[in-house]
Amino acid sequence: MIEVKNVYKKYKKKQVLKDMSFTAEKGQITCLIGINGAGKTTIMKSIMALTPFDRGEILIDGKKINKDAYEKITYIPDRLTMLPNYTIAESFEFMADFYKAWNEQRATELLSFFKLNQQDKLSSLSKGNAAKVNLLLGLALDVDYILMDEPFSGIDIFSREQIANVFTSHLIENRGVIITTHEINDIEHLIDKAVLIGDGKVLREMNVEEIREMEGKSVVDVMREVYVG
Amino acid sequence: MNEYFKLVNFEVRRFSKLFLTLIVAVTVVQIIGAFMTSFNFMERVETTMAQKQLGESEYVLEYGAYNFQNFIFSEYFILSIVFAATILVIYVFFIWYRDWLGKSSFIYRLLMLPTARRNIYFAKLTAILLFVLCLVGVQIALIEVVQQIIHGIIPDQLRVDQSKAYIYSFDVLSFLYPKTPLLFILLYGLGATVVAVVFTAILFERSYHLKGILLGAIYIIISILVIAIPVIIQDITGYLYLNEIIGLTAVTSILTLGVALYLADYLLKRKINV
Amino acid sequence: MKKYWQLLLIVGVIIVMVSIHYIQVANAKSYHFTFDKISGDDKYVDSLLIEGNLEEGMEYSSVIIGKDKTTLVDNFKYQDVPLLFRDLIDQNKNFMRGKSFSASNYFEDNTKLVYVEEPNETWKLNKGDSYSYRFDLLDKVKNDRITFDIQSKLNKKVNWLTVHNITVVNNEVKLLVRHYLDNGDEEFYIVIIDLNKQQIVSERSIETVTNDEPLYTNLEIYNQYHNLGYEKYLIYSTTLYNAEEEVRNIISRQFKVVNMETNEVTPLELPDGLEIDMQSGTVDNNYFVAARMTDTDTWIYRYNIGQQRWLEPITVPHPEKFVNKELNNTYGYNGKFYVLNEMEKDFVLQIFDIEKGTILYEGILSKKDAKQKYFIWANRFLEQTE
Repeated sequence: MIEVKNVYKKYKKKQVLKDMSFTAEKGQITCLIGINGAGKTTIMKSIMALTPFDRGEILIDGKKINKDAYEKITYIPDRLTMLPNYTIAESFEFMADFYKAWNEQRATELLSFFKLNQQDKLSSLSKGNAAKVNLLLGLALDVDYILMDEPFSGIDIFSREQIANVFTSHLIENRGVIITTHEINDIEHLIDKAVLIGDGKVLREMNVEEIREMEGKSVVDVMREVYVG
Repeated sequence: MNEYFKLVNFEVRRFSKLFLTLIVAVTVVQIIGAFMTSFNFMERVETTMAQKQLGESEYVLEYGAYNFQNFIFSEYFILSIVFAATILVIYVFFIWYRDWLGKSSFIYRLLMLPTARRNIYFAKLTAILLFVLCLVGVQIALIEVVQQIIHGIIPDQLRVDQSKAYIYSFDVLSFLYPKTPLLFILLYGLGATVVAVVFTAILFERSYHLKGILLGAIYIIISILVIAIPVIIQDITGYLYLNEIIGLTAVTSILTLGVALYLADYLLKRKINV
Repeated sequence: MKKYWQLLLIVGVIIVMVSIHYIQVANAKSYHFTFDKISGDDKYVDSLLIEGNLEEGMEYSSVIIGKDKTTLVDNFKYQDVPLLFRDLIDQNKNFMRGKSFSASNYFEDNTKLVYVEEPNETWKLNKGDSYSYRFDLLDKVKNDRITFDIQSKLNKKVNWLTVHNITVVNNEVKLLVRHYLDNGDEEFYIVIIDLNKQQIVSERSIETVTNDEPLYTNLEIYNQYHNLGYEKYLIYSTTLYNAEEEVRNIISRQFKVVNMETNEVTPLELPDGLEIDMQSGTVDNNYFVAARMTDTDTWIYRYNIGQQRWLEPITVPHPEKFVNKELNNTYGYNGKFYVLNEMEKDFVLQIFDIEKGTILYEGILSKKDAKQKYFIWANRFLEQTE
């Protein structure tokens, strides 16, 4: 379980996170929803210790993040995290070199699933393909938790479908996933939990299925309540 | 440790093409310099000898023979050294900023490696040191090559031969190659300390942005002052002997290096911002 | 392994090239000189050390030439410390801290080491202002150290002043101080200080020279710079010359002897044959010795200072053709007078007994395997005592 507890962060005089708290369970897909600037990316970076926060605590399976945690949790940001002059094959080599959790077989599987070519240079890839490689590099790690930042933004419709298919596949099974988006439509049917964020804090944390069954509302309905009032 | 070597190797491979280009450029310029200074000298000798009807020995007596300083003080040699030094100084900064800037954000990957983050810092520091020392090593071979070229062009009578120890005891060469191996280690240890201080200042900037530039600048000034304490003491009191100044500077450098490493470790772990 | 070849190559280049460099440099540092006797006794060069500079090609090095071994002086521990001071530093490390390497400011005998520091920034002072010499005294017997200042007042406005000699006679320090006056003139003072009371006893001007364009006067001291010990006599000259002429033309030169015990100054006349522009005068104990070279012979002149008389000159014919026409190196030390001169091929070394007026040794000093012409400047001749 990833626990975000009362996290505060100020950046350039702006309170980016104020008392942010939520949890994300293993085996569930948790979606952080909010408009741009709500603090979604910041909280992901905070979980990964890629940006400092001022107060509060973030625990991964009950422990603060340390170097070994990177074999258990990975983050797929909205940009490529490999050297652009590398080929896909070289990227694989790099990952295999540094991560015990790297699963070469799964990487190859994903490669054919996404219809990518090993010898292509990263810098020559289209935006959609680059996003796929990015996703691939994260998914091919045998980790318990995957954090994805806007995996669908700025990507063509066919790539979107391919990526969305990943979420229903065995690739995600039993893992804990945190995903951010500012547009829920594509993935509403996929997610287990929605965390509505606004102005640096959690406005609503809900179990999607429960809400649907108990109150008969969709995520969008709740969003309308929360954001429009 | 293993992760550290992997990262060093990674940093070396990343710069290797540019570094090879740099070595080739320096080599070409110095070899051209060897030919040019020798040919120019011979041309001058021949015209002067013809004009004034001098023999070779008379020419040497009057105008002096060719010595290695003719090459060392030539623009070819000086510019090649300055050029190589400039590239490496720029790379001290670029080795960090290239991970943040540009299309990809490789720093995300580096910071998410399952290894202590200080290894990234050590690896970059080691890589810079290796590049510097490699150029320093290549220059030794180049001096040999240049001497052979000069020997091939200028006849013995018009040339003074100087021992290796002597050639290396002046100007740039005496700075790059101190007299004893111990001093060599101390000099490049000091160099590594200065690079480490700059690295830590870069991390200040990467952690605190605008405020970090100020912090980094103050940090650099304080570090240099600390390293220079023995020299400052000597300047005021004249109290120390040279070997004591060198020894104390080694101590203040190690102290400064320790602080740089500690701060870098702290910043990378707690304050870094991608 | 394949992946690591660039890293391994770089490390390899560094280790191999840097090692080669330091091995080469270490091997390049060997010099060897041979002493070939012509006449006399070899024992006089057995323990002789010549400290000097060697020029070969365009290469200059500081060397200590000995019969068995020539040492290149660049031990980093003592970089830039003159040889004379290395021993002093080794023996009195703390005392020597922060002191200048000017032998004129030191006095040393078996019981004490005295150092005097000149006043700083005297050009800021006016006539009547006081200034001070700082004394640092090491009692070698009791291993005790005292530092004190001696105050004095300026009679005239000076630019700066320098101590040229320091001697201790019966617990009195005697300084020979040269004042470079504001108006261009120069004065020699003898300053006497009582060591027990730490007070000035007297301060007396013994010589004033005026400098007036184009005529200048130069003061020169003939006592050995490297001699820190007690010397009863001090000899100096005042030389009047015309600065307008291209070749420095000496108009007149007077030699004077100062008896440091009685503080008397008496003139010294040169004998026939010894030119006033001779470069080689040296005081050694009770003698003033000078040399002159002719095309065929070396001439040595000796003056017994106590008896105030010149002795018969010694002449020795050159063993090789004398081409240089100039006297290169002379040195008086411990009763011996050393002459080292460039001849047609090599250097000729002659050692004389000053008192007896005899030649003790004559031989050829040559650099082994010298590929090019070389030249030796000797700063000091000394006997090794181990």
